[in-house]
Amino acid sequence: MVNLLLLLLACADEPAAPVEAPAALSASAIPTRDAAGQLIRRSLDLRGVMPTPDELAAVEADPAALDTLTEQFLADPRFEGRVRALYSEILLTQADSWSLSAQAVGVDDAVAFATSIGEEPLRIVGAVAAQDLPWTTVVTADWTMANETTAAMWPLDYPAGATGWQQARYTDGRPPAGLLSANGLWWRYRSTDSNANRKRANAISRIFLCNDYLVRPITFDRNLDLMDEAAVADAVHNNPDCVSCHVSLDPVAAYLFGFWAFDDTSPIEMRAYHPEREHLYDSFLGVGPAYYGQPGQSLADLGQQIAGDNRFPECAVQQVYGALLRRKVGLDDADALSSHREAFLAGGLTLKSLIRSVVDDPRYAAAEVDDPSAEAFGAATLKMKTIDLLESSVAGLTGFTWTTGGLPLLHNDTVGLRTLGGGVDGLTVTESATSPSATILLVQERLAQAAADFVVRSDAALPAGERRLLRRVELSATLESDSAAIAAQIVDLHREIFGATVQADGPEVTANLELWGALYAAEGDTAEAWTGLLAALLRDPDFLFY
Amino acid sequence: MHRRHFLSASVTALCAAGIRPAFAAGPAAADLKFIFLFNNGGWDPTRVFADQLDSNNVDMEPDAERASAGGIGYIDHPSRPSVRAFFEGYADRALVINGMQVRSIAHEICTMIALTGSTSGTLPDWATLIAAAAGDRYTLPHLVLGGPSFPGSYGTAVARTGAAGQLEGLLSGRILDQSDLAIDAPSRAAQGIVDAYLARRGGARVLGAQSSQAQRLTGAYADALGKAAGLKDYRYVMDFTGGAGLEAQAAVAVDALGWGLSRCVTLGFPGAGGGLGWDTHANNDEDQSTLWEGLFAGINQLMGLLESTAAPSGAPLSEETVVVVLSELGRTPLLNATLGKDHWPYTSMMLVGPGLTTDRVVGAYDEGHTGLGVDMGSAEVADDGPVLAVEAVGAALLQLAGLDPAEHIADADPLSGILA
Repeated sequence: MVNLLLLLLACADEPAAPVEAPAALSASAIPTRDAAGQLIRRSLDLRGVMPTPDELAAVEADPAALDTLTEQFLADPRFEGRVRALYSEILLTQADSWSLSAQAVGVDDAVAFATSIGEEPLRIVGAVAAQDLPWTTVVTADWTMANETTAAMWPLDYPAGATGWQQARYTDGRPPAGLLSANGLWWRYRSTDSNANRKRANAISRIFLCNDYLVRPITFDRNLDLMDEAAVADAVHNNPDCVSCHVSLDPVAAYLFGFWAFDDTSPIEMRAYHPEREHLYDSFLGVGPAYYGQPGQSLADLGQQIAGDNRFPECAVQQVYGALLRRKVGLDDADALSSHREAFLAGGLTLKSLIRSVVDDPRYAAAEVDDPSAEAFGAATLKMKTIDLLESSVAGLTGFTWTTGGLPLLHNDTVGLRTLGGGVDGLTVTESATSPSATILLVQERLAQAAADFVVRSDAALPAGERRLLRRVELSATLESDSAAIAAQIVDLHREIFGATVQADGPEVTANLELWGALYAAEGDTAEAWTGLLAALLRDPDFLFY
Repeated sequence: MHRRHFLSASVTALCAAGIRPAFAAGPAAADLKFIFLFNNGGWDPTRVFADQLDSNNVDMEPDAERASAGGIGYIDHPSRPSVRAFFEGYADRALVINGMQVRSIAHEICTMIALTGSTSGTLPDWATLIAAAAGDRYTLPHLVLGGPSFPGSYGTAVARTGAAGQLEGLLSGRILDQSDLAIDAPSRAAQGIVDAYLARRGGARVLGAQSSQAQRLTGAYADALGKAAGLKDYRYVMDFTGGAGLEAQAAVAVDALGWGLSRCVTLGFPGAGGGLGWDTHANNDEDQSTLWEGLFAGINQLMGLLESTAAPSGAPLSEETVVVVLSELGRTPLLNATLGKDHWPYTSMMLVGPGLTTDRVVGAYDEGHTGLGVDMGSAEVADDGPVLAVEAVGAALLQLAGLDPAEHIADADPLSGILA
């Protein structure tokens, strides 16, 4: 039976939720990685870079150091960025285009305009996580995050002359409700007259309650005249198939009319909250604001109602657990989700407390071994880096960030490679790739080539002690002149790039020396040989998977 | 000399390995290829597909005339010779579906419904499902040159050429030249050495994989690495840039199918920069007419290329390729105050290719331009039949491609009457 399950898992095109675990097995029986292996995974997931050789040495000397280092990772400034990356697949706000142009809203920097709008909601999430605030803050905060670009467009008390993302408040009297009050969210999720904010209400339900009305199986009455407003309204209120969703969806939509824009190409309409329109729900929906039968008045009430809903923390647990294991969550994860929920609650609903719990889960820490318990419990024995993680881990090693015309090449599809590299585009591509494709490897290849070229050139201009990667070797050295130094440098590179300990006379180094030699023979240039070798290491499956 | 004769040695070897005899009795479902040609903005079917000249409730176009070619009746107009040329040349391979309901009048929602049957945006579109079902056979299973695409969970099956030619830039290495920091691309010799090293590393990593998950991922890596290397060679025999025009997209699409790189290709008309080109809330007659003429000129070119290009099997691609021409919604029957037409939840679709009951028009509109019920088994109008849903056509396309629609579409009821 177990073999059959293994076969099924092996044949799946995409990662699946775990199959039912045999009763005799327990998740605690899943073989886990050694401390260094766990450190690598945690370092990448929590701060986006490989652990340093010193950090690796610390956990190898004392595995208990793993917890200490994990706390450091959670306190690292890069943790906020990892949370944003994680939630970018949930909020889906990082779109390339908007209903307004930079020019229309008086922003000169089109790149900053395109990226800042969708980043606002993610910055709120990142700030809540980084500052260890209760997760409820994302729907109750009386602040948002702003930079000079959003401040130039929107009514915010952002300090004049300041730059960069920081906390700010809207000055147009909008109710305080965290993400729910953020322009960036509602510029991404707009509404048509006939939709009457229902799409927005569903976004709230999907993001905060993990309840997507749009994936429910529904029976649609095809004889309904969609151009007859009265007939549609009657169906929404009286047709049982329609009522089953609209009875709870429409009252949530009714909360959102302060964000109603009669013309979503008008900067004046789109920039501000419109308190005078809050009661438009009467004419558009025929129902008043309420949350699953509990009436309310303003968006702030909705935020409080969501914050008090048991499904709200459960959804966060599901999202974080699924994101860190890089797979869909299934019914068989119920026990794990329950356990992490308890930790989340006990930790004061801070995202860090939830993440601590998940990274301690043997499913997350699973070793790459052929073990029935690991497979049956859906353990993440190996994961592929997302495009964000690939980018940050390369940048962490080489200092290279790939931009063109100021645009991060791996963060957009207008001129960039985001979806070709397996990323989400916020509109039609809604899930990151979890396994390689030809185009993903092409993106990895070109990124690796660019980063290798950059770091070798940079290092060549510096004294050995100040270099980023090639600290062990004189760059003029050849295999004939100093093969020992080259081998020692390769040993170090394996440590930094893969977190692996290899021997100077081991097969990995031997293979790399052969590669270096072949490249030198072809190019006649030691820098080119190092560039080629580094590019190969950054394209290696052991760099892509972790 | 045919352009394929310029094939590099490695590509020739790849193709030689896949050569099969031409199909005697039509291609098997698994060998069918698909081109989806999406018309963004909502076309007006009364300009070509929907004959409502006798209806007092539908604003037809001055000078429009009823015409027919084979078993297909259509609307002819002096300003649209390409439409006439298409039906006169290809009616025997074409099937027009009228009166299809898309359940909404919002572009975004209708686009999702028309392509996926769902309003969620998280489910894969028909092209992706069809491509993913045979994904291991193709390097770029679903190639998107234009128009929207919803990969759902099958992101690895979908590749976009990119509006700025990003795929071509990746393959050629020119993407490195666009970096803000000056980057020297590796020489061809150095690339070859590194590629060979990685091929060995990929193979070794598969052998060393310790869990089934690791086997799957490392196996996919090794497979994708080989495909990526092969794809670079195809750059010398085809252009992956795509471009905005339908003619340019058609050329890339036919090459991708002909070389066996893709099973499905999605094209967009108007192309990049065209926005909601068909969204004629004003000046409907003139703008739609221009668009229909441009569309059919492109389709004619596409059909010519499909006829003159060999599939990997050796048969003409036209014998193995189904062309699906659609738009997310239709337009109101009557002109508005600005001589435009607004959004309408009934529209038409045209299918061209093998495996279909061609040379006919199925479904219909009533006097008020609302879709009529159809019999799903025959696709003929039936008073007691359900209104034709776009999902029913999507389900039929999946069935045509050899997939079980029930696995992908809730309450799937394929319009089986359109399948031969």
